[in-house]
Amino acid sequence: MKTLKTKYNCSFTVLLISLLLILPCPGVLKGAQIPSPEDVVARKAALPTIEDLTGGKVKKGDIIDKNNVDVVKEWLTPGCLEAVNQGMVLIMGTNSGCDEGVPKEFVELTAKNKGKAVMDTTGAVYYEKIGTPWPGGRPYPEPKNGLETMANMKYGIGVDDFQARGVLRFVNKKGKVYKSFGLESTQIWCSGRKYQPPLGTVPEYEGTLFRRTSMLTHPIEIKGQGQFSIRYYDDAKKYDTGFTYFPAYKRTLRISSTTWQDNIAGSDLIYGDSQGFNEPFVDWEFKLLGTNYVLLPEHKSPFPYLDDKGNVDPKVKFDLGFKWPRLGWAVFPMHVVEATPKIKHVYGKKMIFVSSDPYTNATDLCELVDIYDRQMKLWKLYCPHNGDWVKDKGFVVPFGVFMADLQAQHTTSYWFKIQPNSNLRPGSACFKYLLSHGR
Amino acid sequence: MNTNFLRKGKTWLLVVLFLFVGISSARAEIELWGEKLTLTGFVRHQLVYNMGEKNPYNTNPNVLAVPPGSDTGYDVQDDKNWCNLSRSWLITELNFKPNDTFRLYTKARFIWDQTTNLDDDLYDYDAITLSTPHYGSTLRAGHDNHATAEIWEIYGDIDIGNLWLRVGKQQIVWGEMVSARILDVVNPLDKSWHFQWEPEEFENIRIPQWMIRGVYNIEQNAIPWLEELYVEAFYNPGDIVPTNDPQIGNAYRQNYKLEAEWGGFYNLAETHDRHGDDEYGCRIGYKIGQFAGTFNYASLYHDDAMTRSGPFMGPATVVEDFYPSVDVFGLSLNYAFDHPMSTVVTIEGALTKDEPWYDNTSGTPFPAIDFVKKDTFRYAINFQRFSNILPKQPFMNVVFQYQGLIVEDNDDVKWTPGPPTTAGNKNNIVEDIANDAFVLSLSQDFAYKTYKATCVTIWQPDGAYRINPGFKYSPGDNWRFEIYANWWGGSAFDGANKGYLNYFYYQDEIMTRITYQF
Repeated sequence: MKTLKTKYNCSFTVLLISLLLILPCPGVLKGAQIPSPEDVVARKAALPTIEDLTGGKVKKGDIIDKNNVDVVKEWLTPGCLEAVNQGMVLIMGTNSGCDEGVPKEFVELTAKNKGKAVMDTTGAVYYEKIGTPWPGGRPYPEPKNGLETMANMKYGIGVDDFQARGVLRFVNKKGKVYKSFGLESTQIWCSGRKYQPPLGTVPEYEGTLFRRTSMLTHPIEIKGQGQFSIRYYDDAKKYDTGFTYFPAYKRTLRISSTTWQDNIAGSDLIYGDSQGFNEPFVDWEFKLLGTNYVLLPEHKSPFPYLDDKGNVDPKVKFDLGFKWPRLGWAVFPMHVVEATPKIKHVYGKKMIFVSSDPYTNATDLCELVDIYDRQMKLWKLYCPHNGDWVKDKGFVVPFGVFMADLQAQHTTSYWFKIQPNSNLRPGSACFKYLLSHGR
Repeated sequence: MNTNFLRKGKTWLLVVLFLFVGISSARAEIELWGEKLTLTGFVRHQLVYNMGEKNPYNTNPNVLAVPPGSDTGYDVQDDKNWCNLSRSWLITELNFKPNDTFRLYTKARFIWDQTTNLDDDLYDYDAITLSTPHYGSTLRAGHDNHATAEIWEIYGDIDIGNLWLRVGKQQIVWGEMVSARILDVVNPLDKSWHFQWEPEEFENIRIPQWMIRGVYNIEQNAIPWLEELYVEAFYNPGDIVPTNDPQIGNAYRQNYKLEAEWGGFYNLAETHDRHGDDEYGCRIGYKIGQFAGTFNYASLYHDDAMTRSGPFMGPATVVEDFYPSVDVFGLSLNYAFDHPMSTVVTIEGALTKDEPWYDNTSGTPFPAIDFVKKDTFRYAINFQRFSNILPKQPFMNVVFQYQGLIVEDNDDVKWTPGPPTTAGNKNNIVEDIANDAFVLSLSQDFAYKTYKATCVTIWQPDGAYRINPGFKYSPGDNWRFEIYANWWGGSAFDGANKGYLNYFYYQDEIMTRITYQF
């Protein structure tokens, strides 16, 4: 009897304490129902909103700035948090639906090939056996380590090719745009092609992953300065090949492997920052730290940020002059990868937030990147201007990116229009391109 | 009157300023018809201050029959000039691209040279000279000694699949070397105004010619082992233009004028220019693994006039200028080392069959002049690396190069028509390995390309050097301010051998350049 009485007393006490806690904080109860990011990635649960995560404290449309950032800082990367403290303002936006970022064919291909990816010791991904190129789709929908996560970026891109055309704007500490460069680039995948014939691997390009060209289009001082590079299927076995064209000399020169680390036209972006991470994987080590909910620019913007000519819509608001575009931000389950260079590098490490399979986009899986200097101090924030939805093709692509130097408080804003899947021939990215498009 | 003049002047100025304000608020390229027709360009003024000496080639060399200081018209300059060049430019580039297949490009130049207006010590030479009087092909309506308007380049591009064609007045550049033209042999140079190896200036030094050029990109694996294979060919149907040398009086004059009209004792009877003849060439580019290279061939005419005299007859000696044909066989090969070397190594070589050289044998006693043909081999090896020298700044482009020249039977030839080496004139010696030089080129951008420092140093082991530092300030989209220096020195061959850099000792200078680009 005594034991039973004690048990009842104990249960009553627990109930009382629980009620005392729950009544003033109803969000705690709701919080208990928040699914884990892993379950969301595994499609076992729906993606929660920021309202769900904050227990209703923050709702869609709310403005977050440095005065109230504490309420969402749990879901901001250190780089984003620092940017907010430096003046960036966030609008709480709309979550994406499942599988909205890539076309149906891609989702089907990923499902069809699930479990068939094999990884070489070099990190190269093959289909069922080493040597057979990966046919397309995401090789590791639920990655278990850093290499698998990054392999999704390298071998599981959501397009067959893209052309991007835009303007790099240099924004100083006061938010003034003081310099701009026109830049266009083209990237054509030779393997893992999903939509445009030839599917899979292009004959005669078996050892090539993609071919890329880029060209500065203005001002006249550098107009026509271009690069042509080749990324091989296994960059550990065959390192990149690159050439550049100098319009003043009117000649093509071979370029060295450190070019990935050099700044694009002197901007805050280095060539290896394209798509968040575009350097040869052989030079880096990747460690998967986990899967977290992260706030990042929403995939579908409420209106097109750029017009057809690539001009920024006047409805886009900026804070601190033209430094910080005020974008809609939403919650996504992101794989957090710590990337550390194995070679002498300008960066100490990159914390890469890689989009997970159900809530992804077509071109830029590395959606947010916090970059640390060699002293491991937070240096830069790479952030896409997400929001372009190519509705007829079912793609989500960014309207550009910005790279903020959080130490120097200088920003490079690269607004561009992406045209995915234009059925470009791999052979069109070549020497001839440099000559014909150069000045 | 004055008030009206000023008012008119101000109105004009206001219109110009209004245009520039309009331009600066727009994107850097002006769209005249959407993206199909665009205009870009710059306005520039450059001023070159002479830190060297009076140009010796604007005075009597004393070895001639005419005594120094005599009133023959040959002694065109008595005192050192302070201004080597003062020149204003308006350059416009017009692009018409109605579709992805076709493009029309023109580059027009408006030049106003004030050098002799500013410096009274200079003889009033023709600053806007042409190397030949074939005005039609130059697209220059005409000029006076100080100003001209011309279409420097005009061409149409056709890009269809693997084939790209360019037809028109254009520059073709082969090779990858700095400060050396090993394979860059197609177009001649305009040395009449400022022969500095500064990239942007070099665009306006290499003379465009009317040519058709095609590149055909060969699909992968068409030939086993060879990747990125392409064939390029050009054909010049007759627009052959030689080197444009500075006129007498020009601060950049590089040799004596020995004709009788200038006080010398040669009479130029004829110039056998090659206008109307044709030139052609081709190259094949390829890649094997991490090696990439080209094989080149060109059938050309020598860019510099070679003089041949009849028997020496004192002031009545007759000379003729020739531009002999040459065949150039070349190759380039590069290899990119990855980490940790991260260096590109490039070698280049060009064998010129039957290149004309002045005859050094006893058969042509000085001052009679003759030339002979000798096989000539030019070569260079180049190391290039982008290096992160300064933390959190763009990479420094570091280039190191060695280059040289080998001439068949070098003892039988000499550099200039001057006295033979057999007569003890060591300045005319063509060595076993001549012209050899080490080049170090450094280029570093700072602060988002707002500042740029460069330095090109060339050292010739025989005892000559050139140091060319530069600094550029680009605060925004439009304005650029630049300053460069040129120092030439050394003691090789008493500064009298044109193959060595100290020959140009009198050209020490500082150049400033202000540019407004749009």
